[in-house]
Amino acid sequence: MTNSISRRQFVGWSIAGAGIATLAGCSATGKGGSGSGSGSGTSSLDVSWYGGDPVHAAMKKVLALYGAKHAGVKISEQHSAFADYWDKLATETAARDAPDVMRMSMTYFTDYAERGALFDLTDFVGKSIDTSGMSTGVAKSGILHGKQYGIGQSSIANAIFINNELVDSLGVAKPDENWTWSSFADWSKSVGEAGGGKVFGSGDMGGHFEIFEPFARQHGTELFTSGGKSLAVSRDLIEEWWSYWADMRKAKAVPPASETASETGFDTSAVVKGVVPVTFGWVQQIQFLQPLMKQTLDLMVPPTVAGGKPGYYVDSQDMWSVASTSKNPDKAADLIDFMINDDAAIKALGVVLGVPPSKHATDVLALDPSTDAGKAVKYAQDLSTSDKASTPPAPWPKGYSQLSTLFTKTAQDISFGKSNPAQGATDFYGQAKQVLSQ
Amino acid sequence: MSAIGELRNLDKLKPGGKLTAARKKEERAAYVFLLPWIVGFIGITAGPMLVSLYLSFTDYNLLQIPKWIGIDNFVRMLGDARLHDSLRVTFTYVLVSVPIQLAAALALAIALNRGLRALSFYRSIYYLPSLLGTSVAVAVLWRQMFGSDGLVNKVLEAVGIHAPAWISDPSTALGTLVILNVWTFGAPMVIFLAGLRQIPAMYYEAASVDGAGRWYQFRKITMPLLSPIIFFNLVLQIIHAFQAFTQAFVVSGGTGGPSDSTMFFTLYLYQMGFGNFQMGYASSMAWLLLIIVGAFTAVNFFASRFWVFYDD
Repeated sequence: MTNSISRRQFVGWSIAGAGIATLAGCSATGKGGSGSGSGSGTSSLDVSWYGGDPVHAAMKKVLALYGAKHAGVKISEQHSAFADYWDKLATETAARDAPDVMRMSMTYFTDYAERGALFDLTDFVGKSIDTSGMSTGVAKSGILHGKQYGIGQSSIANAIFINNELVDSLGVAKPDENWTWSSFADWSKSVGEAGGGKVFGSGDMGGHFEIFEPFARQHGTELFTSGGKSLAVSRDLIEEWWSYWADMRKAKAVPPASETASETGFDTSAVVKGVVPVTFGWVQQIQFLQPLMKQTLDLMVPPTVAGGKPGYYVDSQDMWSVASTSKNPDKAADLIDFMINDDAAIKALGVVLGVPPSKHATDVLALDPSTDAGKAVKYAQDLSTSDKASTPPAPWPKGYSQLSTLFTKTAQDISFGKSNPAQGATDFYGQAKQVLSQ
Repeated sequence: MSAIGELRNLDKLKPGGKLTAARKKEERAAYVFLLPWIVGFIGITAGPMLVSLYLSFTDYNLLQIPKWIGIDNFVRMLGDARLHDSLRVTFTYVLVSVPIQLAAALALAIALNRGLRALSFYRSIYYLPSLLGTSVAVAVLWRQMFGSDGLVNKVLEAVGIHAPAWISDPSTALGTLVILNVWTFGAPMVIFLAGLRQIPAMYYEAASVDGAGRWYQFRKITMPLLSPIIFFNLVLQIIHAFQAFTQAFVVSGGTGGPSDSTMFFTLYLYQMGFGNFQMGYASSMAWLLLIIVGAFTAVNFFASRFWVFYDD
C-alpha cells in the first residue's frame, strides 16, 4: 500500500475525533436570547406565555391594545408550546433574565415560587391589580405561604366530556347526572358490553393524577400535607384507585392499555376516535376536542363517592406571574390588571386561556350557552356553587410535575401487567416520599 | 506528499528547539488560523464540560445558586430504580441495534461492491437514511408509521393480521426505535464500501486459482482485511447509539413511555435537568454516560488486539 497514513492511524485519529464529539454532546446547553434593554424615558416589559396558535394571536392583540394606550412601555414578547416553554423559562431564570410577565402553570408554580423566582405581588392586589370580581377559589389560587405570587387568569375545573349520540347509538341509557364511582363503573361496563370490543365505556383515567385528586378529596383527604412535604393520601387509597381501573379494564369498561397509551394529544384521544363516549379532562378542553369530532360533546360533573365529601373545585391553574428579577414590577402589575379587567382585553382574549376568571369577564363576553365556550363557562359557574365542589386545595407542591409523570408511568406498569395495584401503590408511595422531601 | 503526510512530519519537530524568526511568525499565523476552533472548543465544549463537572457535585435546581454536596448525586444513582431501567433500555438499544445495523451495512456494501452499473446512485439512496435518521421529521414519520392506525398496521390489516399499536405497547416500542437505528446503516455502509475497495483484487484471484469458494474467501480475505474498518464502525456506532435522544423523545412524546420502555438514559437525563429542576443530578448523569461510553470504547480497543488485523 502506498498511503502515507496507515489504517491503524486512521482508526486511531477518527476515534479520537468521535470521542470529542461525544463530550460535546454531553455538555451542550443552550439559552434562548431575549432582549431586555430599556430605552431612554421608556420602560420595557418582556411578556411570555405558552399555548397554541389561538393563544398567540389573542395575546398579540391584547398586547397591541395595551401598547396603544401606554406609549412609554416597550413590550417584547415570546411564546412557545407548553412543553418547550418550561425548558426555556428555566434556562432564562437561571441566567437571571426571566421575562417580566410570564404565564405560569400550577404544575410548576411552587417550583418557581419557593425558589425565589417570582415577585411577591401581595402589595399590588386590591390596588393596581383588581381581583375583586374573581370567585374566592380563583383569586386565592396564586397564594403560597400567605404571599401572592400569581394572579389567576382563568377558571378551571375537572369535567366529563360525553358523546351522547354515541351512547344512544349503542342503545345504552344516558347516565344519571348524579353518578357515583360505582354507578359510573356499572354504566361504563354496560357500554363496553354493548360496544362489543370496539367501543368501551370511558377513557382510562388510572394514570391521571389530576383526577385522582378529587377522588382522594371525596375520601376526605388532600393529596399533600400542608406545606407539601409529604403525601397526605394513604398508600391504600392509591391502591384502591388503581384496583378500580384494573377492574374497569378487565370488564372492558375502558379500552385496553395500548389503546390508552396511544392517546398523546387531543387528536389521538379515544373520545375523538369514537372508541369511548366518555372521558375526563379540564372543562375548557371541550373547545379543543369538539372541533375534532362530528358528534356533539356535552359536559357532566364526574362521579362522586356515595356518602363522601365534595371533591371537585373551581380555581385557577394558569396564572400571570412577575419575575423576582423584574426591573419594572409596577408596570408588570399594571399590564396584568389590564389583561384580566379591561373590557377590550377580555374580548380579545375570549376563552383562549380558559374560562375567564371573573364574573365581570364572563358578563362582558356574554357567551351563548350552546357554544363550546358557553358550555364551559356555564359548567364552571354551576359547579362552583354545587355541593359537589369545595374549597380548592393549596397550590401543588414542588416536584408536582415529577410526581404526575411517575403516577402515569406506574399506572402504565400496572395496565401492561408489569406491576399490580398493590405493588404499584407501594412503589409510588415510596418514590413520592423521596421526591417531596427534596 | 499528501497533506496528511505533511502532518505526520510535525511529529519530527522537537519541542523546545530554537525557532527562527520566520518559524515563530509561522507559528503565530498557525494560531490565528486555529483561533476560531480554539474559541469554539473552549466556549462550546471545554468550558461547559468543566462547568457540568462542577455541577455534578452540586444540588442545582437552575433557579438558585448550586450547593456543593460532594458525591451525593452519584450515590443517589445507585438507588434510582428509574435510572437503572433507563440504563437497561439504553444497553438493549445499543447491543441489539448496532450489530444488526453493521451487519446490514456490510451486506449491502458487499453487494454494491460487486460492480453495479449505477453504483453512485444506489450509494446515495442507501446513504440518505443516515442523513435523515436522527432528524425530528423522521421520528415523527416513525410515529405515524408505527402508530395504531399507522402505515405498518394498514399493510398488515390488508393481509388479515390485526397488529398492536407498536409504539404504544411496552413490548414493541423499543423495537421500533431499534429498527429506526438499523435503517440508518448508510454511514457505516459507505465506509465499508471504501474499505472493500482497498482490498487488492489479486488476493481474490489467487484464492480462486487455489479453489477457494466465495464464503471461504469472505472469511479468510475480506474479514481480516476489513477488520480495522469493522472495528472503526463498531466503536463509532456504539458511541452514536449511546447518544440517541431525538428518536425516543419524539416517538414517545417526551415521556419515554409507555411504561418507561423507551426511556433512554439521555431522555431521563433531560427530564431530570429541565423537567424536574435537578440539573446537578442531570450533570452527574452526563458524566456517568461519558464514563460508560469511555469504558465501552476502552474495552473495544483492548478486544481489538485479538481480532483486528492491520496489514501495514
